[in-house]
Amino acid sequence: MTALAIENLSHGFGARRALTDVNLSVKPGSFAVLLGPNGAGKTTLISLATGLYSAQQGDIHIFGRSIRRNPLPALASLGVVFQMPTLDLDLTVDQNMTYHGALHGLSRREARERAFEELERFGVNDRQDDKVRSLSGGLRRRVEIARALLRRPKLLIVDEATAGLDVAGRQLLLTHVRSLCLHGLSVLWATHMLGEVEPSDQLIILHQGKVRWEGEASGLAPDGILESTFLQITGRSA
Amino acid sequence: MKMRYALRALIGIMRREMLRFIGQRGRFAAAIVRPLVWLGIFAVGFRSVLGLSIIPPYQTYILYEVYIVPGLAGMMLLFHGMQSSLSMVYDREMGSMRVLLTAPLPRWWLLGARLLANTVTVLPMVYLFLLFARFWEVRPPALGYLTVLPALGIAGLMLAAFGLALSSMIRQLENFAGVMNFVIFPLFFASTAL
Repeated sequence: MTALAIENLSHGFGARRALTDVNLSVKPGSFAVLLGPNGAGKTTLISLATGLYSAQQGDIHIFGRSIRRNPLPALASLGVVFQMPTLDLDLTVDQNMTYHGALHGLSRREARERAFEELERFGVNDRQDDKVRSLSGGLRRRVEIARALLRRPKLLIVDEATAGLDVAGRQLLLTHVRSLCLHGLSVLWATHMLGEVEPSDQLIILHQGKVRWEGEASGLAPDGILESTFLQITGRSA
Repeated sequence: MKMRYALRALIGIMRREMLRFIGQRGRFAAAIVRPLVWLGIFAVGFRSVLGLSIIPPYQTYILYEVYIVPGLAGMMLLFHGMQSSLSMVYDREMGSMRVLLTAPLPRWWLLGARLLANTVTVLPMVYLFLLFARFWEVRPPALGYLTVLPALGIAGLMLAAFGLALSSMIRQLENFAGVMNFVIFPLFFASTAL
């Protein structure tokens, strides 16, 4: 069973088409990179996959459960990090974590235990009692990712999460999420940064609302240099 | 929907609203000071110029302060309902609404929980105001504090729901103040509670 299956998905805002006939799938335990320039439709696709928008055409299945017909079990296996910050600035890190845990059926004790583990992994456990407002942008990002992993999802969807992180922070995050794939987590990682793609990753290139290429990244650029091929596909070559 | 999970979510939402309300000290202070200003300044001033007829359930003439206290409790619920709707618009603008909407629970439950949380948050404030009102000789019978609770709860839910409906129509935070002026003040001044 595929972790994420998107079939004939189309969506628009007024006259503007954001996505046109998108088909893609993410295998269980794989790290899939959704690569596209700004405005390619990545965030719209993620909003549809998380049930925030209702697709005008097509369907999305998360571990076989349709987000349109059976949204609650589909959402139950999903962890999301949105491009837009979603932490509550006036609450502490711990309060944000327990609130999120409660929304996903965790008791306060369970949520705090898991939060400590995840925050420790990202090196922010010493800031648990600080208000989110007092954290730097990079630290807030780490907290958001730790929060998405709190309920141990089977599929993690991440929308440009490394924006605002320094090199070390980005490396830490990527290494940790990739290591989770080894334990069965499936990841859809939306980004516009070519440096985040590894040759063994499943790569999906989205441009102007359409999938332009899908396959193993090494198949697109056997020499490991994605940039020129990517620019060619997206019609931006010099 | 597993009931245990749904109840945890409800408690989590209520806790968050309570923490946010207590954390916003200005809003917290304004919620209690506003009706006290009305009671302590306006009511005392109006008492000398306004005469009240005998109105049921009272069996005799009463002071204007006694008459206005239920209306001021309603005013607290109204202002809180509108400010809660402002916080919904803020949550939508700031992204935290997405966290709520991607929870694996039905939308009606999540919004109902939010509504209930908004109402439960303001009730202790109303009771605090009613206690302060005792300094102005507004001393209802002890049982009255209990019997007023359902009325406060229902009115609070209704006004919070009204605020929620408004927040779904307001797209930007900047528009909120304008809309509120056309909602709060007509409601407030048209009320017979003044």
